[in-house]
Amino acid sequence: MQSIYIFLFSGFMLANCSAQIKDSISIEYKAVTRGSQISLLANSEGIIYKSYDKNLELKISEDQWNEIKDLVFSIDLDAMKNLIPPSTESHTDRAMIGSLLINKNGQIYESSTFDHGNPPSEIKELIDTLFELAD
Amino acid sequence: MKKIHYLLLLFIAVVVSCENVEENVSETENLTTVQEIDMSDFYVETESTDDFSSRGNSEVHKCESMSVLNRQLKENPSLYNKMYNIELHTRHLIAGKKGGNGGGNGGGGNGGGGGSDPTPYTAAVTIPVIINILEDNAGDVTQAQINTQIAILNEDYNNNNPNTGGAPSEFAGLVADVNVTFTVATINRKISTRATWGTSNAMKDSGQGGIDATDTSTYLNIWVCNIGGGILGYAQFPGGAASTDGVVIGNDYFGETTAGGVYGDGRTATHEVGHWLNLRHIWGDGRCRQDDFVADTPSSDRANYSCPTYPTVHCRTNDMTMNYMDYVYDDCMYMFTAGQNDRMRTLFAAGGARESFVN
Repeated sequence: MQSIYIFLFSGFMLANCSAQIKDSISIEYKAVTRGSQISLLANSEGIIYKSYDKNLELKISEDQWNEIKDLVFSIDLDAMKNLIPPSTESHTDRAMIGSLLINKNGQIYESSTFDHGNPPSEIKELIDTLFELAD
Repeated sequence: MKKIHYLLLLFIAVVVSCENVEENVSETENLTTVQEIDMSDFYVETESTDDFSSRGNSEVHKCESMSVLNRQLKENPSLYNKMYNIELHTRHLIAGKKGGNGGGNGGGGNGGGGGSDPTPYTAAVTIPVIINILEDNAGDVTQAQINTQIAILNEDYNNNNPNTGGAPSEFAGLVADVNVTFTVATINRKISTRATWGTSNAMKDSGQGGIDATDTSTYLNIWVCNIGGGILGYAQFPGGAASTDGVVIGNDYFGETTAGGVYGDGRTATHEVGHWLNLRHIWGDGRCRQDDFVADTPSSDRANYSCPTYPTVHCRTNDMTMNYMDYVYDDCMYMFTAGQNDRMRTLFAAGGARESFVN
């Protein structure tokens, strides 16, 4: 009986590992309002950040990319489109309109919109990590 | 089998929590006396980033959005109740207008109950404006900027924008003369070396180096300062704190400016004053079914930018990209609709949030 559990567990680990190796992931964060926009693109190669006052391209290490991928895997991608934002300042132009797109193996998942600077908790850690790298 | 039990338990828990939420919400509805107005799609804005609110996205599971509404209610019940009652009042008057379409439903009957339904305010409105300028050097924000800004507001709120003649035929019949006139009451200037003021209302607080609001019950306060963060201007809906009531416009986007480029024709203020008069963004800040609470504007699921060509189709209808409440260039926006006009004018009717401007 125990051996079955061990077998199942190791099988799960293997499947999990191979999924991580095989998965092709790219991420796009956008924030836009009347008159300005910010975009951040991330993939295994690096990050391209463009905004109304700054443009930069940078390489990221394998460890950094793995950290980002782990954060992506921790998100329920199908639920992203229904995330409820913690604030709605953009409704009176007080914040830019943010959104997150994740391309996983060719399938694109897009979040609901939220205030730039105050994303829903479910995707906050990923967005914060990306912006820390681009800062 | 165990798994099925767990799923069943989870399902029951979700259903139960939904029911609780609905009960709480209906308690709030009971605070008010009118039953026939549908408020089920209403959602509340936040004033500070600490608050919670719902986008009321109708595609979101109702239980979820209601639970956030409920959280908002707990965290800031007075703001929620104020905005709820403003919306209820607005809908009541618009429903009244539809009912009494024959044109006034017979003479006076003002004093007695049971007469005609109340309707949006119909007379001309004059709004005195306090202009609060925070600038590096005295006169950086020029008198010409002030003059052109007031002129543009008056153009747009009196259907005198020369571009309106180009409205596509499907929208031309909806163009409204809002019949609101803006006059300069006072100009307050203050020198400040602060590079950017952000969006946390510091410019409205003398304690933080800004300029305090002047009697927001009878004046529209406009703060002119460098906002930063890529924000051209921002507003506050009716129902928020009196001390921060008004609109904020970035120096370069106030009046006619060359620095403002395609946003240098003063229409940031037209858009922000629209919010100050309780207009939502024309796309409803959500997906197709999330409304701007105006019946004659087409449904859309996004803002339009730059200067879109007609037709621009979203949610299977042509977007009204030329509406002042979209996000296009200054020169490409040129109309409010009759429905938006009614919505704004409910605020000036008896019991309306901005009634004090006309009495």
